[in-house]
Amino acid sequence: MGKNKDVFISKQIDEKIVNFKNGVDFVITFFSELSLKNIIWTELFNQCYQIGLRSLPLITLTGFVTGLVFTQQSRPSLQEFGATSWLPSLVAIAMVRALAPLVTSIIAAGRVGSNIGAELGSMKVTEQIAAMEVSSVNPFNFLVVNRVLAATITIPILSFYTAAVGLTGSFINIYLNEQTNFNAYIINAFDSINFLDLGSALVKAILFGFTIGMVGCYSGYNAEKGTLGVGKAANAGVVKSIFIIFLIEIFVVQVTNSLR
Amino acid sequence: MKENVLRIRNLYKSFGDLDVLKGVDLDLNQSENLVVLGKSGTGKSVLIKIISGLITADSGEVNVLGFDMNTITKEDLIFLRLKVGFCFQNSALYDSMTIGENIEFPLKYALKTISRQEIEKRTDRVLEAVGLRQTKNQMPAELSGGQRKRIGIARTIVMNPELILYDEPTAGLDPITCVEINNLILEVKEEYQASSIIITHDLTCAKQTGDRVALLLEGSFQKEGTFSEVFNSHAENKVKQFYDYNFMEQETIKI
Ligand SMILES: Nc1ncnc2c1ncn2[C@@H]1O[C@H](COP(=O)(O)OP(=O)(O)OP(=O)(O)O)[C@@H](O)[C@H]1O
Ligand SMILES: [Mg+2]
Repeated sequence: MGKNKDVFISKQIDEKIVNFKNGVDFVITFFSELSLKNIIWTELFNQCYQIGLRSLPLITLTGFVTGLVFTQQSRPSLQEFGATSWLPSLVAIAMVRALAPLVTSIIAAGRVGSNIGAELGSMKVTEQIAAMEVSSVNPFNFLVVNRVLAATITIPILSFYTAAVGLTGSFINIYLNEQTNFNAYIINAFDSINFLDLGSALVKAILFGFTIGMVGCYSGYNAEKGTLGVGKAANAGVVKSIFIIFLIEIFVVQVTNSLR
Repeated sequence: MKENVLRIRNLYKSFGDLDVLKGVDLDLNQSENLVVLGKSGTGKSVLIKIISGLITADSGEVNVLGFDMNTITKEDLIFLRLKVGFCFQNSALYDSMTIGENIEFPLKYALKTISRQEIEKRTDRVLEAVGLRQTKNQMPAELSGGQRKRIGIARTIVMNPELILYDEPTAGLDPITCVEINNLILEVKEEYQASSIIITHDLTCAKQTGDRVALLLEGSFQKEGTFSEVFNSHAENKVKQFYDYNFMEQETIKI
């Protein structure tokens, strides 16, 4: 019995290693297929639109609430030191450095990653991907390259949008409580943000977008046969990308802090 | 003059422990309709997937329109596939595109130099040929199984292929629609002078569309010839069984 279990576990580990290797190969294929002539502009634009459109309502809501609630909850601590005037900069730092890219990406992973996983997964199991292949159209180019690029472009834009919405939520809260006017709020907020913050936020958002696109495509492209495979692919698109997003977050924070 | 479109010798393919194809030999002549018959799971789909390069063979010679599939380069494969049409068992229409876009797809993205006008013209012509012009702006989900099969065929012939691989074109369709599809296959042969492999386990389809019939049983071709040659009264047991089962089923239903 114990032996069987060992075999089972070692099989699972083998599978993980093979999966990881396949994933790396997938990323390598992406970069080898990536060239200007392989981009189908209408498809890229369409995908950007889809990704943006799909995530926008939820991101707007979450960003706004995050900014508002974060401000509300931070106030008592700052009040103790009579430092409520620091609220705008505190919120701005938190929003730009961490919350906006992270919140955006986690929501996008849920909305977009699962969608790409399911879409490509069902194309895989119904042989639509094979159909592209036999008609001399490179399905990797058409489906993967454009989707990954679209996610890589759209998530950073959405992240900055989330930051803007979050700061708006925060401003409304501060305006209602401290009657700070908009100009003062903006000056105070942006004073505390430097280039490194913006740069690292941008890098993070780009990496997050790339991850969401890549993981979603990989899960879908390698979906197992049957409807069960589609569900699994959608699920993997979300879970794996959120996991990788956290790893990237930790890594980039370390690098950024060492540069400060 | 008759020349070989396809030449397969001693083809083997297995998946893990499962030996699917065990020494397949096959020739296809110019402008010939060859029907491949066989039970479910004997590897008929695998065979044509090997011919189109979707699956690679374990061993054996596979020569398609002069290209050796074992050593073919990526560029040659792209070129070859422009001349080989593949009609999938489940039609494999692109769900997210309209019928018109489905048919335009290979023209637009595989033949990059073609003009918009030409795309329109060829799309309309094949839609006309399969009798489904009115569905151009519909989505695949709105079509019936038989209509989807016909669109699948339209999407294939729009490329003017020299070799067409039909994977069970009549499976799961009612008898009347089956006859329509069979006629369509014959019309395509007339009009495009293409050579075809038609995979089926439907004997009516085999009889109607095949110039020649080959029976795939237990991993290799057991019998080959015209329909009546294969299923004559002296046929071996296994062949007879296949025939009897097929028609017995139909007889039972008639009663
Ligand atoms: N990619 C694959 N991986 C593993 N096994 C496969 C694969 N493709 C096919 N097989 C196996 O090969 C065998 C033959 O499959 P194939 O699809 O060619 O059958 P078929 O003759 O087309 O049957 P049907 O008439 O039901 O379509 C089956 O047992 C199938 O499970
Ligand atoms: Mg089959």
